[in-house]
Amino acid sequence: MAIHIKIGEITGFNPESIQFYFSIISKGTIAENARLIMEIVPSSAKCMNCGKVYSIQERVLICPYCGDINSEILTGKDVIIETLEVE
Amino acid sequence: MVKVINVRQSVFEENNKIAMKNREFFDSLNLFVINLMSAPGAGKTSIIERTIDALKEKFKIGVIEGDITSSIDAEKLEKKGIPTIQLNTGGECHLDANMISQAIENFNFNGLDLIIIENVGNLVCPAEFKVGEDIKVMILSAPEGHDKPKKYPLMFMESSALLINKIDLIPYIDTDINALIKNAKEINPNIQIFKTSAKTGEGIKEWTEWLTEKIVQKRGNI
Repeated sequence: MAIHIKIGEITGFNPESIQFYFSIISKGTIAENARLIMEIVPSSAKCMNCGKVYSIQERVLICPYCGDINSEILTGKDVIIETLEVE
Repeated sequence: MVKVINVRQSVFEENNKIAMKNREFFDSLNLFVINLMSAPGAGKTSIIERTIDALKEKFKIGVIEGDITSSIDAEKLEKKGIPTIQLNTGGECHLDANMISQAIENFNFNGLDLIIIENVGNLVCPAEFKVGEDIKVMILSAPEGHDKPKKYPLMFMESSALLINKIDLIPYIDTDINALIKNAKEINPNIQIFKTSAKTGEGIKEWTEWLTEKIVQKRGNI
């Protein structure tokens, strides 16, 4: 059994803590011993001025191509339970 | 045999749904709602008092007070004749959309123009949860230091405005205000920054003028 989770880089979630608490709350349930497969989703943004997509470094939201300050965050801000593998 | 079940569900989904409902409710009453966040002791309640004093002739204002426990802040505001509802999270370090929807059921919002939601004092978790607000605003008190945008980036990223409070303490502390502004602007280039002192009243005029504009923008549009 496995649970696939995608964790955005710029959220407050961290895999070690999720694993730690999952082990505790899953005890005695059908999810006990399920593997948590967690993937960190890198953060990226699209510049509203030049339209280029860039990866966010150190959370700085200034376009590295044209220096514009208006960007839309595309990825890295969500935590998604993707799939469950069950037997 | 192993079966794969697609879930593809955000852990924020349920909260966001309720937040959207709250927002629809506030919109239907033509109410402007601020979600005010900061670390404990940065001056949220004092800034609320100053804000209300500055705007009470223009707008009818209500406050939703979020605290882990106690009703000290709500009592303080009610003494000034401000409609206030106290929410006690009973341990949780932030407000979520569900708690605000409970406030909606138990509070009479009729006739109000502006709601200030005072979140639980915490620089981390409140930034993760939408509650149905129009804007998020954060306060950082000057003594907390200029490195805070780098250490707690999400709140700076989410906020439309930053009030650097206790600015009157600058002569006595090592915080570099220019570095603080630079650090905040790197993370959120569009953040509006106000240097305020709830003690002396400095900067309250600029902050409340900006806020008035935002309120008028929304209420004019509806």
